[in-house]
Amino acid sequence: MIKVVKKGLYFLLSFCLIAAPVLADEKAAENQISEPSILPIPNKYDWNNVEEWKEARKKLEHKLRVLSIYEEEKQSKTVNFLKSLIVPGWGHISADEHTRGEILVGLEIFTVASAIYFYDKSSDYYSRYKNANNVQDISQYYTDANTAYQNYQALLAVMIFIWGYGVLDSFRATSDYNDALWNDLSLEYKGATLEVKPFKLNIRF
Amino acid sequence: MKKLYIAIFVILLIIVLSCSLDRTNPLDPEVNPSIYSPPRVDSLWVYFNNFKLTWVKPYYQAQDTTIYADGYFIWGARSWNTKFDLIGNNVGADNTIIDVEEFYIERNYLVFRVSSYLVYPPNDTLEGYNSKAVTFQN
Repeated sequence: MIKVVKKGLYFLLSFCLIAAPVLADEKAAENQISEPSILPIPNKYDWNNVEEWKEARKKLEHKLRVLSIYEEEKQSKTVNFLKSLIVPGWGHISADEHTRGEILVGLEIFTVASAIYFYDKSSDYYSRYKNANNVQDISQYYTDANTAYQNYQALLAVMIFIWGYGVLDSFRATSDYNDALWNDLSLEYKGATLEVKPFKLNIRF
Repeated sequence: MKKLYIAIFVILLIIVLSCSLDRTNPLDPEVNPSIYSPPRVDSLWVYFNNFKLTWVKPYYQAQDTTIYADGYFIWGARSWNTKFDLIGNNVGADNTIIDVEEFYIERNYLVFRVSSYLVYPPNDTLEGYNSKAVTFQN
């Protein structure tokens, strides 16, 4: 009797040892988690397998190469700001916006020349006004001097505005230049083998 | 950004256009209350028969005082469109007649006009508006 019970216990124990993993697998299969769901979404490194990793690595190397050239060739916003501060339009011309730069320089020269002309005219009339001893001349010269002075002031305002606009817009022009440079470099060096030598840069296609 | 630029430009224009030159001439009646404008000579005639240029003594009322001229400048020209030259100076408000025969015969002056003046110490003379130009009539 005892033997029968012992055999029964052994059998039950063996059954449990064999059946437990099977049952556990079934249980796990019921709550199975799909592979993509355990990957971070969005994927931080933009690759899911070795091929994609290699491709991403290649892209990164390309970007690093382009970045090193970009860092050398990009323009400084501060330098272009200072250029525009000295001569309106100079910053734009440096940033390859030749037409806008030339228009700004032209307008500035025109307004400065006109302002000087009206200032000179105003000074002349004002000097005559100060020395006049005729009521008619006093009235006429003052009106003429004041009109010329207001023209000078208006041109001065236009000149300051153009100058300020040029200085502020040089930031935008430099940003656009740097963006275009980055895009051009990205396209230019895509797939190209880059060799950096002292004082020289070689590209092999 | 465009609105900002426009706003800055408008503010600049307002600031600069609100400025004007100072009236610094000490004889400017517009800013100096002690300076009166000389009275304007309105009525004047010159006759061929006696070569006399005459005008009505001008004056005007300013606050509590009546302003008379301290004298008159007489200007002559050879035609209506040529430059006027100073040909005489009649000192005194009542000195409203001048003989122009000599100017007509010797220097060919045909057209005349008169402006009054006021003298301000020490030596400043403020000349008033010119009268209309006249020529000989019979």
